[in-house]
Amino acid sequence: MDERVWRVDVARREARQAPVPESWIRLGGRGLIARILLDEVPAACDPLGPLNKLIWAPGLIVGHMVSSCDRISVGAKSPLTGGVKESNAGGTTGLQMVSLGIKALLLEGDLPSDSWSVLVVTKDGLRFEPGDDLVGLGAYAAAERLRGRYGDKVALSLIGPAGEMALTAAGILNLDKDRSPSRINARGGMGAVMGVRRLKAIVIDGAGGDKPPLVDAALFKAGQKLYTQEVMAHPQTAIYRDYGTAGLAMMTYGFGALPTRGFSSGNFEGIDRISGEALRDRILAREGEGDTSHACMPGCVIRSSNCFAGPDGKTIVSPLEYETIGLVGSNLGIDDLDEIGRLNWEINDLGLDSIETGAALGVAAQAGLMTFGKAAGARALLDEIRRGTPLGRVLGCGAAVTGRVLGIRRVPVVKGQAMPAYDPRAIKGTGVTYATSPQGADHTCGLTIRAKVDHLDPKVQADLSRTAQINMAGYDTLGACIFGGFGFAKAPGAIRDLVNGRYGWGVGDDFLQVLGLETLKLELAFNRAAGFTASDDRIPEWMTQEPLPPHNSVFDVSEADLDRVAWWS
Amino acid sequence: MVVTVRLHTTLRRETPQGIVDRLQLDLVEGATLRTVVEALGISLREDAILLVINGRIADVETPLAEGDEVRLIPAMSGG
Repeated sequence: MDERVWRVDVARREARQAPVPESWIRLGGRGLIARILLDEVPAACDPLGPLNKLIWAPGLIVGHMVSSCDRISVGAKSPLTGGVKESNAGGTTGLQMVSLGIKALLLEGDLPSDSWSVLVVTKDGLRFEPGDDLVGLGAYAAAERLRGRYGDKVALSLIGPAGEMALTAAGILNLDKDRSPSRINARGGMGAVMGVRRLKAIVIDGAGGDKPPLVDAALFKAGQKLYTQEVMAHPQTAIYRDYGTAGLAMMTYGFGALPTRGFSSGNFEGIDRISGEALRDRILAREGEGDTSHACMPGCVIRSSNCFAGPDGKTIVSPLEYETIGLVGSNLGIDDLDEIGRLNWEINDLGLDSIETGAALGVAAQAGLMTFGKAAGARALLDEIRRGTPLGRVLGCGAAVTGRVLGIRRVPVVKGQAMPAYDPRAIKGTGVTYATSPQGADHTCGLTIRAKVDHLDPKVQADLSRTAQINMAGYDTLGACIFGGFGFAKAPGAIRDLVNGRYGWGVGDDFLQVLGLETLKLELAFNRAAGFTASDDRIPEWMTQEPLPPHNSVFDVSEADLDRVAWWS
Repeated sequence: MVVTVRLHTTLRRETPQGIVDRLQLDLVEGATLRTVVEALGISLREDAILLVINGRIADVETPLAEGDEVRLIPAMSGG
């Protein structure tokens, strides 16, 4: 099927397919989203108004079940940060969109003021169906009803109650390979941009679709084989398979950077009860649905995801990942994995970003609205969000809004977006990423914790972060998972062969970096046009002043270094 | 001198007494991280294992002191 751009006007219930503009052809995923935003969305527009566009864009090499390389990017001007936004997820949405020839799918045009709808995408085109009966349903119940209506083979992108309320911490949820809506384009409020268009879900039915054509199938297969071998042989793959990202809890604690009680310490006394080691032991000790190794996308050989079951063997949540353990666990002083898992399920069901929500609750706890360490208090605050109370809406708009309303100064955000679970005062390279990424604070834009450097030395962090950010922007444009990236790092020729095998573009060994730098420059251009300046590329002032135990370090990478990274020259 | 060693994720050991992820080693003066790694029979493959003393990245030749906390961390990243 030829690649097309699918444009959807929800208010008029109209859709059309258009040829791919020349300058969009060699981009996908994150890079394509930045290009489209620059070309078609006024940078100064209201992110929740009619001029913004919500974009689905599969990565460039999505479609052939190359392990961990079928990710779907969703982006728009962010209502959380006010800048460029791309958030990517695993699951099955990317694969099925590509099988229908979708290069990008755009929601655009006026905001509907009447009923809610569901958009159904098939090989025969698009149609709208009523969605009013789904309004108010949590993400899990909505996904189940949609699966009953459209079958078990479709992919879904849907929002929960938070997206319906246009809360700026709302994400978009996609089905994993086991049909759970747990692969989330979580960051930056994309669920709110969907909610203002009164679209509860997109159903993608790839039946009758095709894998995208390969210009040189032998070359593509050779690249795939080389890459897969490197992924399988990489020592990190075994860690992810057995411990998942949760293995990072003990590692981050070991470096004194585990967010604890509102980012007031880097060491949490309950670490042995929330670590990846504890999670694995608990999953293995329980009968039933628990699984330490789970693939979020068909064809993934890493299987870093998991299924976390309770004492009764029934699933509490799947997956339970490190960032949630950090933000909803130690950051709230909660040391019980069962409680963290139940809160995670609740946050997913509301359709919220667990990083942003955990950070917002940490701010609320500083203001006395819950007690650190008490899961019941956190649950009560999540219930405020579900009921749409004024307090709940404040929390659902994220940590920055919560801090402003409650008068709390110690808010862990950059560009209005909450920090993931690495305190930048003890992992300073990741702090550089938080400060300078056009996306706002986001570890997936360039995490440095794995590097063999002194994470407290401010002088060595800028180049480290810059390199990581360029590579990650490249992977996000290809549609590759960060964990697959470790395989590509050992076999850089594989990217060249996959891209040339797929498209015949004759790209070189440096294509990842070429893509990454181009993407970052496009994103920077959008943010500058939206009004961002160097003062937005900073870690919050309190983190440059208040020492973080146990190292008693502050964030002290120089502003000159931050500016040098942030300009992407 | 006595140092504490923490073994992360895949370096934990299954023993008849259960999983061991924390142990104390009594080392001779002048011992380094290499002494610890060799005593535990761990092979250092490229950059696959991060060596950490008291929360800071360290080199395999780094000398140890009484009471140090050593972490042997199979390198991983997040996403």
